[in-house]
Amino acid sequence: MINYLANMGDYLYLLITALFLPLFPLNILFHEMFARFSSRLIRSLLLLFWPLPGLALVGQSPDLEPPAWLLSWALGSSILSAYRSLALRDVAIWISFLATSAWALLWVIREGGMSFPYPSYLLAVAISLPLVLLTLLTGHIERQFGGAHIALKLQLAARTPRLAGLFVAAVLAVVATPIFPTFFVLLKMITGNVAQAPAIAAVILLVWLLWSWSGARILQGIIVGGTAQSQAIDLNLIVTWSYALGLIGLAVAGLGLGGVLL
Amino acid sequence: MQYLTAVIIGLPMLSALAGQLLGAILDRQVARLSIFLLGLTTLLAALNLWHSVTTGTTEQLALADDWGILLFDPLSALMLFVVALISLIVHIYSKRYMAEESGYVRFFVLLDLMTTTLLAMVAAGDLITLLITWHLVGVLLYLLLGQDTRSHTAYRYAFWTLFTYRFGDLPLVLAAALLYNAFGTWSLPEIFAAILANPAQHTVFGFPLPYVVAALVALAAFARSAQFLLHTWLPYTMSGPTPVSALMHAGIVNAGGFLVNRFAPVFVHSDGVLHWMFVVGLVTAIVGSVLMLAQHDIKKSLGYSTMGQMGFMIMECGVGAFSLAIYHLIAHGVFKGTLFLGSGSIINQARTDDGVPKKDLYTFVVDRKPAPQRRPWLLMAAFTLVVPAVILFFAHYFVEQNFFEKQGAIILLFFGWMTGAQLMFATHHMQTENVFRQFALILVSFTVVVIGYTFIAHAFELFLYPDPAFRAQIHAAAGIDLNLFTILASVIAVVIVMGWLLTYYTEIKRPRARNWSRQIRHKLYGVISREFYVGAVYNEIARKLINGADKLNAILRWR
Repeated sequence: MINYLANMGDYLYLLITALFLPLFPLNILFHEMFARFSSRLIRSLLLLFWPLPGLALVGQSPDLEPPAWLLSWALGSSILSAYRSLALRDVAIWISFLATSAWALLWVIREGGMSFPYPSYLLAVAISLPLVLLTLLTGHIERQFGGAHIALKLQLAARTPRLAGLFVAAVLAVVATPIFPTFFVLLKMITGNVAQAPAIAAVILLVWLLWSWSGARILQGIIVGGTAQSQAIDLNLIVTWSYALGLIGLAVAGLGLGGVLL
Repeated sequence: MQYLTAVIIGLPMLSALAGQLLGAILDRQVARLSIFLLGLTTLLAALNLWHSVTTGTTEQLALADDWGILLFDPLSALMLFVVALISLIVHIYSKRYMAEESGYVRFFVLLDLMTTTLLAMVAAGDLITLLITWHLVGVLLYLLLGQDTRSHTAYRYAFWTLFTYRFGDLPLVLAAALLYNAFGTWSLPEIFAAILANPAQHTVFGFPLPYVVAALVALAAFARSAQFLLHTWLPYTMSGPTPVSALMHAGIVNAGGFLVNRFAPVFVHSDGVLHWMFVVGLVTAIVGSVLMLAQHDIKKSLGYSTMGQMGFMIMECGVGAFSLAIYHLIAHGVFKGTLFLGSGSIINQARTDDGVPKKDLYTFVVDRKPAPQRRPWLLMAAFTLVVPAVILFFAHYFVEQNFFEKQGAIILLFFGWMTGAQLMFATHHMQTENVFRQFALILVSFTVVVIGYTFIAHAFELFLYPDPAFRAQIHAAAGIDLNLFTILASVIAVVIVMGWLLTYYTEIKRPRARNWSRQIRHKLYGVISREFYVGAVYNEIARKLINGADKLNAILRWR
């Protein structure tokens, strides 16, 4: 009976961890919540805090070894989310898929036996911050145009050039373009695994490639287009500079993180 | 001098920052500022190169402990100058060319950022800096090709470029990770020193580390330099502005040759990888040249011409002629840049006057009417085969008496021989009043080109690889068994001789083509005109993958 309860406890622990470092199909819950809340603040908080309980659980139970197949599941979940993001047309949903794809990779830290001089929260935050920035910008698009969907033919570059420029930079930050933080996180994961488990490194690279592909599709759908029929109100200078400083801050943070990790 | 390298990289960055921050005030003056700062950059790069040529020193500047290193060595000094010069020309051209386009300031900011990134890439002294810049070149090129934000076509083809470049980034990331794991440092000079000291120290998957790393680096170079199967993006990126095409074809696409040279200490210990590079380069050169001949659009034709040239460049690396690849990329950059920048005005002019002088050249090139009275075909065939071979032999012999010991040099001689023979054949049935004068001029031109090419290539080798032992190592790594090589060389020589004899004989007799031969030619032309279906296959795969994701999302209700 005690063994049974202990096993149950282990499974429950794994289940909760798999919810917050989201594995398929548990990641559906996050996708649903993210789509349900339209508030930029709630979405940002979700992005910032969702993976932290998962990391805390992993970190606080050093004796509990997850089964070996869990890492394969995590990598499979990451690939699946990245692959599914190829066909997404709504930016908000795309952000939630990119988030679950990236967070699922955090299992690699635990399973790959990688060591960091700083808490692993740092990596989760590094992944989440560009997503938060993109969420805030997407909020502007949604307010201005009623949605951030490819089918709306937004043609942002022609209608709101400042917003378009920031949007491009934020998408690039999300898909792990150097020198943004996610690039260094991925590089650390690849470096940490390439010798002992080259398959893990290969999967991370595949996920990275899929992110780039889907990111380019989103950009093309949202930014590009002929002369817009109606002009829209662009971001004012103060807001533009605030976001620009945010992006510069991300880049600087990325370089700092690179210095710590590599 | 290492600080000068930092200034050279920093100036275009300063220009980009000034353009972004003061764009609203400066407006069109942004171009002048950009050109001024880039002119200064080119001047400093020339000074830097002169210092390198006269002293031959290697220094480095580390911005952080283990990465952020800028390298000042002959390769980086030479490439800094080349990149700065080509970029300056593109800047000057763009000032007027882009004047009517929207996003003028954005264009110059992106152009400056691209220049900075390229300069930092060629001076990168560590793997992280190299990875960052290598990767950013793809992203910036994507944005430059998509300068016209109204054009879905431009973005579609810009995406092809981005995706291929990203695909090519991945092996480089793996190579960097493997090297870091093995040696515990990101610094390239330290890694190369360790490999040269003990090449067999580390193994990966049962193979020597240099072998695996060289194969991965070669793959990255293939994607960047549009080698066959990774080439589809190159001819279709013409929707971008012409200056971007010029910069891309004259500079960016050549980066594969630079990368191989940068990793030369790895390649000398990578038994077999250079042979694969030779095969890939050869196939690319042939496919690119064939596709170029089948085009009707001048810019697309130039695109495939670049592909063929890149094939030659990689092939040169494959035969161990690393420094020749650098010379090739510079020469190609200059002439291809000129062609692209001039293509617009040539098209414009050709609408009123094709510029081809009537009479001899016109009837031969445009009307395709050879001279009615030809010289004796056997004599011409012998002349065609013997004269270029003699010129090439002596040009090489005077530069380096023992060139016969280098298999790579022999292989390249074959190409020179065929090129010379092609020149003779193409001109032998041109109408001319004075046949001796015509052939004298052709021979003098050919001799000047060959001698110039041989001497400059030799000078490049001495400058980039001053250590004779290392030069010998490179050629040894590219070599194959001597007996096998002798047999292959003899067979190829016989094939070339027989081929030219047959060509001349066919030209003079003009036998009627048989039906089956005509059908094969038609089918072959169909395949070539559809570019071997490579792009179509990729499109189909991409479409199926996206449809699959779409169906999966629908089943899972988009959550």
